[in-house]
Amino acid sequence: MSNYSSFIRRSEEKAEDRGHLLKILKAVSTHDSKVEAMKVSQFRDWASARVQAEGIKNHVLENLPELLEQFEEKISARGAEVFWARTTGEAQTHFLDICRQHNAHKVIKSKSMTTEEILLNETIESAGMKVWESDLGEMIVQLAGEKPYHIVTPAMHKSTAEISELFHEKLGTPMTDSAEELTMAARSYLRDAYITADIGVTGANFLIAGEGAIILTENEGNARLTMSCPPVHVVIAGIEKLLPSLEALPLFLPLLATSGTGQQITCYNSIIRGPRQAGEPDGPEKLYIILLDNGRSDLYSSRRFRESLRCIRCGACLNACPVYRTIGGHTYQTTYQGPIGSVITPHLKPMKEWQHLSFASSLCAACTSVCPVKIDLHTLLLENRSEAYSDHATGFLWRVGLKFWAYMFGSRSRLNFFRTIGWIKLPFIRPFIPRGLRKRIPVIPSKSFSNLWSSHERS
Amino acid sequence: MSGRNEILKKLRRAVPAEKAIGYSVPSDETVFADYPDTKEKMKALFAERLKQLHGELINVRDEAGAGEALEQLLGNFPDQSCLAYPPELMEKLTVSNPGLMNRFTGDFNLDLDSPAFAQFSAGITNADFLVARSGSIILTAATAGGRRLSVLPPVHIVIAYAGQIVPSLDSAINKLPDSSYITIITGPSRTSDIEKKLVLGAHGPKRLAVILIG
Repeated sequence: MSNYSSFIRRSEEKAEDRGHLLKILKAVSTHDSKVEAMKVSQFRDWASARVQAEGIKNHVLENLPELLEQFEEKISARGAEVFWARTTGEAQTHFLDICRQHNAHKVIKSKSMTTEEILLNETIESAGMKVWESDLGEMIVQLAGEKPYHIVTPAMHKSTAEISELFHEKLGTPMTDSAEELTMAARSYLRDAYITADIGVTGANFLIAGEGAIILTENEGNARLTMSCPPVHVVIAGIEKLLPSLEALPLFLPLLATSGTGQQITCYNSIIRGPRQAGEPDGPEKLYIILLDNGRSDLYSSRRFRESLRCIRCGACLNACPVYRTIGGHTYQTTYQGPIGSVITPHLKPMKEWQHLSFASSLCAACTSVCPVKIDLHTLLLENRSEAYSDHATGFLWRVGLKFWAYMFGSRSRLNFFRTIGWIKLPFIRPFIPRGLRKRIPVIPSKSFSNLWSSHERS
Repeated sequence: MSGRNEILKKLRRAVPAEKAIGYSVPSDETVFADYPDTKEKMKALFAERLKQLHGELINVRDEAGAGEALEQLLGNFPDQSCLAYPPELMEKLTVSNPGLMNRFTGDFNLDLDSPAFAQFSAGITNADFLVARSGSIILTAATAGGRRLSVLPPVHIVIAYAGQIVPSLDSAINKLPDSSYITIITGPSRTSDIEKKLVLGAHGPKRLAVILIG
């Protein structure tokens, strides 16, 4: 089954699944009210903070090659080793080489969408090693054998009861309806893993060029443990993650926390500047950074799509999107879901297989209105549609249909043709109503607006 | 190295010809509505924020007072089950509270894979800065006894001075000491991954207490 038809099938299922809808609405509305309140209480003017952030990220994009080199130079000077990966495959190879070099068997990971993108868990497991996800939400989806449902809250789709059942089955913990007990079960399950892991893997929320630093933002402390306990720390980050200097953090950390979770700032924000230095009592002996391109330089090369690389992965556009809220995160079958995912996925992967995502939008622009770095998301969705059309990535019927549509709507008289034979209208329109719509088709009035208008003009 | 050069070459080809001149970072005072402008407001705001975050704050006048407060906090933790850093600070705290010494183990250089480390009841550290606006504590590997002491034990106690409070993060970010690890701690460890319900002590400390001197 093609990605497109399975997308349609899954969308239909999820849109009709009341239980799913209620869970998501509850999570999203709790989130929304926190986020909106925090924007007002923390910022003098949220709108101008976004403009400032956009400006800094634009500066990064205008100077991306130099800043990447600067980052590499600064962090290498403190003993870190930097690898560059053009593709998913190259990133996997670099990682496995590091594992072999350190004779590693156990890997502990903190939450990172970039590692999802390169299928790191699958890579580790097929090389015969063991991998633990340490973020609670990620651990839940890993135990369930699923993919993250949301880039910020991976287990948003699971109820307490479902998680209790999962833990009971996989970890042998007693059934409970308490989120606290489940969290404590996860805590004790992972304690040993931090201490015994050979390698700790994290992503990066930001890479700092000026001082050579990796920034990790989290709430649980699992990332701090992952970068503190194992003797080797591997960071996997996209090449667009840069900020010019540490000076940008006082703006970007609150911006990310407010948009992502409605917090003033997240619980832990760590600044890593190299492996353990002389005189420091602990910390990893080795720090490796794998910089991932995997299609980002293509986005960069497109004047129109370059701005999508401003994204700081806060997840705000997912929460705001009426399509995401209805069909849920798994339906997309992509690493990055929601509007930002629909914008970038067709460029990171084959356009032909993923262009349909850009059509799954009402272009309501809710995503654009919440984006903290002002990415023009809904316009980019439209640009994707146009690109898919000119690249012949859309299907034959769609192309012919659009041509016909454009022809009919090209002149008033052609459009009026249907008015003169009004009874034919409904059967004509019916096949064009999108599949999956369970609504009754409204009765079409015998007189159209243009009918009424012209008779009004005459009188 | 071919991957590196190819990526950089591709990016260079696409770099826009016209660039804006530099960038500017706004000061926190102009960005944030809750920026405290006096010393009193800073101290009050730090206390308020830490409390909102479920952190504990104990105000004391001097090091002797801090020693007493620490003794109370450590309550019935077993002897030699707490780890503290730096030794100089602990010496000051124990001058008038010699009994406190029993709680600590003197070894600050445990092996990385020492299972004993994970068994400690509390980690006690210094701080580099306290941030009033967000109720945060900033510490570094250099001043807080490395990376693990402040995150692995279930209780983290910070001994800090009122003079270390800064209004907002921008006053601290350029003054951070040279360290491989700097962390900004804002309340005890937390998660809302299960149905958005707040639970403290996900993987880091369940309890965070600040003993503020002065």
